[in-house]
Amino acid sequence: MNHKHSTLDRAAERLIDIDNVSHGDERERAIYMEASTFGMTLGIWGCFFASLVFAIFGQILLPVVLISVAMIPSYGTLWFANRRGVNTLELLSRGSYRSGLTSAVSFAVVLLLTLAAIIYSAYFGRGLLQFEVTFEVVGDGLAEVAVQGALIGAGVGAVLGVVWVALIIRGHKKKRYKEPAPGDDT
Amino acid sequence: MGNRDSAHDNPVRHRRKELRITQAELAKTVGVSRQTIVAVEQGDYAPSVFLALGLGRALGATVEELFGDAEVKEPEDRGIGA
Repeated sequence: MNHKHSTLDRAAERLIDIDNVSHGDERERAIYMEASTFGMTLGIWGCFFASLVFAIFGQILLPVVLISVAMIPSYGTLWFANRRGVNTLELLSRGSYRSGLTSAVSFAVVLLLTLAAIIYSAYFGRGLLQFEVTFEVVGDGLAEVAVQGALIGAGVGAVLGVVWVALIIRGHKKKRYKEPAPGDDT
Repeated sequence: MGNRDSAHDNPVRHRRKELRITQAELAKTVGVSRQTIVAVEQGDYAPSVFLALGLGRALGATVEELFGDAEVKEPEDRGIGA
């Protein structure tokens, strides 16, 4: 796309890496963008429902954090589109009133339920439902060792994840270059 | 979405067959994946102007000849690259 890019725009585009050749041709890129939107929407709904569940069990800070995190993709979308002259709210107004309203009302209902659960917890000092897990630490320094083990495990898992993705990409590259191009399909 | 019947009389496919080139060769010529050529031939994907022009050049036909008879689908059914 041709735009007059500011440093901020360039940074945003570098972040999403939209023009990277690895994102494929125009159809693949369009599908990739749709898939990203799908994933983002799932993430937003996941955050909202998780915040509701945690609020019901008496958590206060975690639901607020989750809702705040869920807002980031929406505000990011508004900002990015607005920088390129696309008003997403105006776009929504072009669609059917019913579908836009259904989505907005659904989010509002979950948000209000979460807020109600938080207020209940703050007022009564306990959640609507009780669920407590207690760990009994046996032996000196066992908790410290457990934390260290978890951190090491997470680190090794992260490295293995990167290696796994790298191997998959390498496999696809090899397949593309080594295999003869598939012939006509029909 | 398109279907097999519409794919068989698709002008892109017809012209490609006339020229005896494979989908992979056409894809390489215009710089897209073979799956994208398949999607265009099946009517599942409406290419951008740039890709349509590229296909026209590669197949020695005009965009009008290749896509002039393409059905204008409703927004919810339409290809995503139009």
